[in-house]
Order: sequence, then C-alpha cells, then structure tokens
Amino acid sequence: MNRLRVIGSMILTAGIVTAVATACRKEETASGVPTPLTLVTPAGFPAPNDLFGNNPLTKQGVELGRVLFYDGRLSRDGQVSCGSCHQPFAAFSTFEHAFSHGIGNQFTTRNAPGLFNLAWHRELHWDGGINHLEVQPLAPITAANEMGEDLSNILKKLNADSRYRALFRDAFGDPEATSQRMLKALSQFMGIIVSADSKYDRMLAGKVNFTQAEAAGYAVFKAKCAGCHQEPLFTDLSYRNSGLPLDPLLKDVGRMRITGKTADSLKFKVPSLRNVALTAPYGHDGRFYTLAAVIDHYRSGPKPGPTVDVALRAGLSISSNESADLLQFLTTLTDTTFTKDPRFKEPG
Amino acid sequence: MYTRWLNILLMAALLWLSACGKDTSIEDPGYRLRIRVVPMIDGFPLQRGVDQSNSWGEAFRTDVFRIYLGGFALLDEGTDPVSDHPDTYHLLDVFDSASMSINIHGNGTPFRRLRLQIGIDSIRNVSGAQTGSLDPLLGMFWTWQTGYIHAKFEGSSPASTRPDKRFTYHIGGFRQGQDSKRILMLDLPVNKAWSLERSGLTEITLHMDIGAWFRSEHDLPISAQAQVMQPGLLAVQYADNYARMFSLESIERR
Ligand code: HEC
Ligand code: HEC
Repeated sequence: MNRLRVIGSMILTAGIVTAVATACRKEETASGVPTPLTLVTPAGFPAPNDLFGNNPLTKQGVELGRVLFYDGRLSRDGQVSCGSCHQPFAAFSTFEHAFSHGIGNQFTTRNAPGLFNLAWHRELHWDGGINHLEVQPLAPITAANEMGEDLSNILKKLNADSRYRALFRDAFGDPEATSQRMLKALSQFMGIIVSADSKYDRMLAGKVNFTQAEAAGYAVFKAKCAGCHQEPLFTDLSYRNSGLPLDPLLKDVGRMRITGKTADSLKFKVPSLRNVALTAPYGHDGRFYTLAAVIDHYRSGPKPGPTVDVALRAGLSISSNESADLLQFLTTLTDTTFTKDPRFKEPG
Repeated sequence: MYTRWLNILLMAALLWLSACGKDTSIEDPGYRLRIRVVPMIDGFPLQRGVDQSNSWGEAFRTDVFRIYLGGFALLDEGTDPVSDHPDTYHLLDVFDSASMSINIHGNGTPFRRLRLQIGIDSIRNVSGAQTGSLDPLLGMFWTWQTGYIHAKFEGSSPASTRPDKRFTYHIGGFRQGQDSKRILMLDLPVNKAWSLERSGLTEITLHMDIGAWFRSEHDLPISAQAQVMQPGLLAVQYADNYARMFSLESIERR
C-alpha cells in the first residue's frame, strides 16, 4: 500500500513536471527540434567554461550566429559587420591593421584580437572588462566608433526580415528576434570556433616532427615565454604589464580602467600566441609590426615602471640565434584548418 | 491520505500558475499587493523639464530618472520573510507612471516590514544575456565593462561644471569594493502587523525623495561632480545616498 502510494505520487510529480514544462513552451511552433551539438575539448586542453549550460549549443543556433556575425545590418550604416573587423583568414583579427575601421571612417582604439578558443576565456577584451561571451557583442554594436547602432533598431531590422524569422524559429522555436536570442546565437557561433590543429598540435600528437630550429625555438619558448603564454592556450589569461610605455595620445591604462586599482595600471590580458603569425600587428594598440620587433622588445628590456612584471624587469636574455629559432617556433602555431573551416566562413 | 493528495494537487496548481510568470515564489495570486512609488524632491513632487532645486540651492531640471527596485519581501517583526520575491526586478522610470506601480502578491501571514533592494544581484551581472526587465535593450547596461546600471539620473543645472551644463549619473557596480546594490527594510507606519486579504488589494505608498541623492549619507552637490558613469568609490557614495531616498508613507486597503 505504502509503496503504491509512493509510486503514485512519483508518477504524479513526473506528470506535473512535464505539464509545467509544456505550459512554458506553448509559444514554440511546430517546426523541427534544433540539432544538438557538443563542443569537443581538444586533447590536452583543460575543460572549457560552462558557456552553453544556459544556452544549449545547436546546429541551428550556430548557423544563426554565423549569419549575424557577417551581417552589416548590425551596424548603423549597414557597412560594418563583426566579420569586417574579425576576418577568418587573419584568425578573426583585422588583417594588417593596428586599428580597425568602424562606421563613418572612424577607428578602434585597440588592436582587434583573433577570435578562437573563446570558450576557455573567463573574461574578454584587453582589459577583461567583459565577463561573459554572450554580452560581448553589445560593446562593438553600441560603440560610436565601431558599429554605432542601437539594439532595438537591430531587432526591428531582423524582425522585418522573413529570412531571419525563419532562422530564429529554427534555432529557438520562435520566430521573434530578441536581444537575448541574438546574443546567445552569436555566443554559440563564436564559442565553437576552436583552433587546435597547428603544426605544434600535430607534433604533440606525434603526427609530424619539428625541424631542428622549431624544436630549439620551442625550448627557448618554454624557458622564457611560457610563464605567461602558457600552453595549451598560449595564455594564462592573467593581466600583466609587459613594459610597453603608455601611449600619450591613447592614454590606455588597461586593466585599471575596470578595477580602479593603481596596481592594475598598464596591465593587459596576456594574448594567446596561437595563430600569431596571422594576427600582425601586435600588442594591445598594434604598436609592433613584426614578431621580431616584439622579441626585440623583450630582449632590450621593458620601460621601467611600478607595475611591470617582475619576470621581465631585467629584460630576457635571448641570443640572436635563439631569437631566430623562436620565430620559427611561433610559425608552427598557425592553424589553417580552422581559418579555412567552412563552418566559420561568411555564409553564401 | 486524502490531505497528502490534496497537498500535491495544490502544489501542482501553484507550480502551474507560477512557473511561467515573472515571480519565482510560490504564493497565492489572490493576495494582491501594489507598491506605488511617488517621486519627490525635498518634499515636492518631482517634475520633468521644470526648474526645481535641491537642498544645496542648486537649480536643476530632470530629464531621466530610472532605477531598479526588486527583491521585495514581507517580513515578520524580525527579518524572516513571510513572503519573498528574490531575484525579481522592476525598472522604475519616473516619467512613465505605469512603471511606478509594482504589482506583486503574497499570502495571508501577517507582516510588519517591507524589504526591498535597489539594484541587481551580482549573479545577474555575470551570467550572460538576460531578458525581461533585465534586457540590455532597456539601456541600463554598461557595454564596455559588463554590468547593470542600477540607477540613471540625467538632467541639466547651472551648477554643473561641464560646458554643456548637463549632469549625468549612471550608478552601478557589483565587484568587491564597488558594490552599489542596497537592501532596505522599511517598517510599516502602523503599530501592528498587517495581513493581505484573499481577493483583496493592499497598496503600499513609498516616497522616493531625490533630495537624498544629493545630500544624505554623503554630501554630493552637482557642483562637486556632474558626471559619474562607472563603478567605483564615487558610485558607492551615490548608492549610500540613494538608499536613503525611500520612506514608507502608508499602507491601505484598496
Ligand atoms: C570596428 C571593428 C570591430 C568590429 C565591427 C567588431 N569588433 Fe570585436 N573587437 C575589436 C577590437 C578592437 C577588439 C578589442 C577590444 C578591447 O580589447 O577593448 C575586439 C574584441 C572582440 C572580442 C574579445 C576577444 C578577446 O580575446 O578578448 C570578441 C569576442 C569580439 N571582439 C567579437 C565581436 C563581435 C561578435 C562583433 C560583432 C557584433 C565584433 N567583435 C565587432 C574590433 C571590432
Ligand atoms: C610576464 C609575462 C610575459 C612573458 C614572460 C612574455 N610575454 Fe609576451 N605578452 C605579455 C603581455 C601582457 C602581452 C600584451 C602586451 C600589451 O599589448 O600590452 C604580450 C604580448 C605578446 C605578443 C603580441 C601578441 C599579439 O597578438 O598582440 C607576442 C608576439 C608575445 N607577447 C610573445 C612573447 C614571447 C615570444 C615571449 C618570450 C620571449 C613572451 N611573449 C614572454 C606577457 C608576457
């Protein structure tokens, strides 16, 4: 009798749960259920952040995100898309530009980083001011010198377009474009961009061998650089002052702008060095045009200052031979599988 | 045996009713409570685009005043909630009268105090794209540095040191040392416990006196700074002051 009662209430509870679930889903239309995807963690990578716990990754969600990423209508003048500053062949950075073009002949005030392995980043932007990938697009969309647009305007444009209504319906079961759905779709698209198939990765997997110079460069890297540019992401995601003097025009104090702490003055997020040969120029304001110039900066020693990282204060002793090897090694971090991946390309 | 089934059924009904609504608490929607917020400036009604003055003698005109309230709870004589609406937010806009009345519900248990929160919990500041009253579309969200603007106050004043004579206060911040969320407990102005009535409406009137924004816990005349648009020590001071804007004027049956 007792057991029966327990079973009875279990069935009832299950019934209630499904009933409640269906009650909330009533706006879903009859279209197909989105196809689930999983983010595959490359061998040797740590577990990614829980980016998709509240935003289930689906084929249709990623597809909508991709269309949005390459659509100029996310900007006020219709000309500037995310993809115009984040170009696939440049590992999603801006090809050969220190600063990128925004609307109306304006420029950004920082160098556009490459976009890959973002599901492993706790915080975004050079100063770490953005704490979640879903809300990152709000920054370029609303910035007057980037896309200069207003969210409600974008939603008006999207909701007036039957193609988008179909894409939103396929991804979220409802044709209405909302800010949350748009942001979640962009997050799905950016979140699955993974770069882990460089020569370096294939060497680790035992598929190819490094040349002598590459192997020697790797040894120098592990000794001198890996403390901050930590494998396998090639960044420890910390904020450091690598000794670049303050640009008097830009007056960019980096991390301090977010935390308000003087101890964070001139600290910037350690950039990943994956695909670094594709993302010239270098540094948060693109002040170095070549990798050799960056290495020279480390060798000659940074400009002294209270927040300069202790590891760099005295300069790094790197011989000319070592420097040449290091450059060879850095080119092994280029991953053309991901830059040519059709899933990440501009649609159509 | 029967009571158990009845309980389960009742739970089911309540779950059904509450699961899709905005509030997460399981309460009886029959017990209605309206919280009406009346904007004032040093005892006078706040008006749009009209010269008014603060207690520093500074004339000013208000163009925008928006503030997030939320986390309403009805408390017994201690601090235990008899009815709780955690993690629910309402955006008040003093020039949109509909937004100035907040309709919630509770239950029949007597209470003596009202708890409310100014600003948004940190968890909502770090969990990605939100919707409803937290939609970034509402313009209460910083884009270059993730986080909600808890209160926005904009206007003009001859006391402003800025060339265009405008003042702009965007106050928020959730990180350690920058927290500008404030929790208030307001006693009912009656000397006894109050109970909501089933199928009845109780109305609480709160005064929100913007005079305290400029002068209460801290002295913050417009002439001292006319622009605060990021979290930090100053924002925390404005938060201490906006916490002093609210007083519970009356509670009545409607
Ligand atoms: C006008 C050029 C431009 C446009 C348009 C642009 N970005 Fe960026 N993006 C940048 C720059 C510059 C940065 C570095 C910003 C900073 O650090 O303050 C950046 C940074 C980022 C980052 C952070 C990467 C990291 O490693 O921290 C992401 C993610 C990103 N952009 C995605 C987007 C998306 C999505 C869009 C479209 C909604 C977009 N961007 C539009 C130039 C642009
Ligand atoms: C103490 C930490 C630290 C060490 C050690 C270090 N770096 Fe860096 N690196 C940084 C930081 C921080 C930046 C960003 C600097 C900025 O723009 O302000 C950076 C930037 C770079 C960049 C520019 C990347 C881009 O996309 O803009 C390259 C290339 C680079 N480092 C290579 C190296 C090499 C090679 C070594 C070893 C010789 C090395 N780093 C050692 C912290 C470090």
